[in-house]
Amino acid sequence: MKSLVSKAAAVLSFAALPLIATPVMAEVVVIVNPAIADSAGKEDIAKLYLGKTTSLPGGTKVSPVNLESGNAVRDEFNDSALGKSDSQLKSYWSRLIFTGKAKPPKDLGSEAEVVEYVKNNSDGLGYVSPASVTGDVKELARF
Amino acid sequence: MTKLSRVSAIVLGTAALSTAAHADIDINGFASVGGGWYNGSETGDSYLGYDQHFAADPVTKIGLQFSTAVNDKVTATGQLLAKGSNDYDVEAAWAYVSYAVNDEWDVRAGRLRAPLFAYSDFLDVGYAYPWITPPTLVYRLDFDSVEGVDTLYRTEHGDWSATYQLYYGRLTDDINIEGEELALDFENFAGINATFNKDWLTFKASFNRAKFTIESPTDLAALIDGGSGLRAGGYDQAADALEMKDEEGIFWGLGVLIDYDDWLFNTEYTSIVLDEQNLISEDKAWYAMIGKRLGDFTVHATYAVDEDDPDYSVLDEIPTADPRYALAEGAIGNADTSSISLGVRYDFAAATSFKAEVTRYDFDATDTDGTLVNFSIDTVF
Repeated sequence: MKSLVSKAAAVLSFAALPLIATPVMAEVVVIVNPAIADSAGKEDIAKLYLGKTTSLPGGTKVSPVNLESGNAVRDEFNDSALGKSDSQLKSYWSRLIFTGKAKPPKDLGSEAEVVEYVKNNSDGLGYVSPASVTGDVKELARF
Repeated sequence: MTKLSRVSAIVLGTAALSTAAHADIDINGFASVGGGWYNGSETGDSYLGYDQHFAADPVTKIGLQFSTAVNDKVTATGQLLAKGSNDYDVEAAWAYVSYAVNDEWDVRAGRLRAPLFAYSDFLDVGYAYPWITPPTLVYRLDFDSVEGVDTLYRTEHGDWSATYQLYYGRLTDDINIEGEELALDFENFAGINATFNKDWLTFKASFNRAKFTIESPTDLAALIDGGSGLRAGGYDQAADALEMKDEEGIFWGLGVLIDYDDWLFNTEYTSIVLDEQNLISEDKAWYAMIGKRLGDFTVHATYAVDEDDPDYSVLDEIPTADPRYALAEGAIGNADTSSISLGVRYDFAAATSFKAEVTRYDFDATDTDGTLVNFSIDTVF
């Protein structure tokens, strides 16, 4: 009986682990090419990702990139930086795309590709999880 | 064409082709499928293309947009649209070349959307708004394009983002009224509109004017110019009023769009003012919508009104006993219609939503009413 209870407890705690781990979202780091000297806050970054501006507050033009739809880091960024769900953002962008007023940031397939893009483009800006940040890129903000 | 120029044309053409093949062409699309039923208080009533049997045409449409950067400054964009309500004839909703003067300022030329309403720019992109279509009593004009030029100027006033648009052009088109294709011509079609946005709050204002002519439907043409019509009877004032020829018209609108903490509140007020009494009589329409997002669901309720303020004094020259008086009186617009709708949108998959609505229309001018039940699946790709 005792072993059954402890076994059940072990199974339960094992099963519960991912459930507990999921809501504790990791931080998101916004990265830029090291050539960019500007600083920016959450609102400035939100404006870039909502197509309201193409420059950082210091005046430097940037080309932001996204992670693909469905990527957990993208969901976290959408939630913490933009305060919108993926479907709200798609609806928002469809208002701009089909009137030719703005183009959404390009989607890249992985965090490694984002780091590579930001490293290789002097106007590069993206976001990744803290573990993916390398010395080739500069941290602009962290949410 | 000389041989040489023909050769160079071929060379240039080939060069253009190979450039095009290497150019990045952005392709985006949208589609809506669905349908509905309309049940009116009078047997056999139909409204907005719906009747008591299932109809899919009023909802179904597909659009494809191609856009390519010709160089750093110039972008070419075309949007092809096929709508069930237009027999799926493919038409260009947008077809323009855009020149970016700088980051703030664009100049565009070609076929553009006439920016009359808050949702005009993306009127056919069902995925972009919570309803199946924006409130029909307010979005009551049967045309939506203008061929000409416009400028878009984007700037910031403190915490507010602002967009100003100025356009000038002409629109010649056919509109479908009661099954008849009627020619429409808007000359000196011009306007200005402004959008101010700060976080969850957006204000929109538009002012538009045109000198327009719309062909009269057969019955009306007979009443105006027929053998026993108004002109034949010497009632030119009434005939001129009913004829939509070289009319000076103004359309203006104001909108407030709020998206705050999963609550939505949208309202638009619009007014059509003509220089003389006409088929359209000081037509005013507005709506108010309140909605709430609950996870992947959005529920919303909308109240809309369309009212005319006709001035029948143009008919004073006709004796009321003359049968032409009643016919002319009937032709003058006298809308007094309201609607209440309840709807839900469910974002059930990526870039895809399902919508269902029930709308009750009350036509006070004719003391009739009706209920529309419709649904749609909208997607963008």
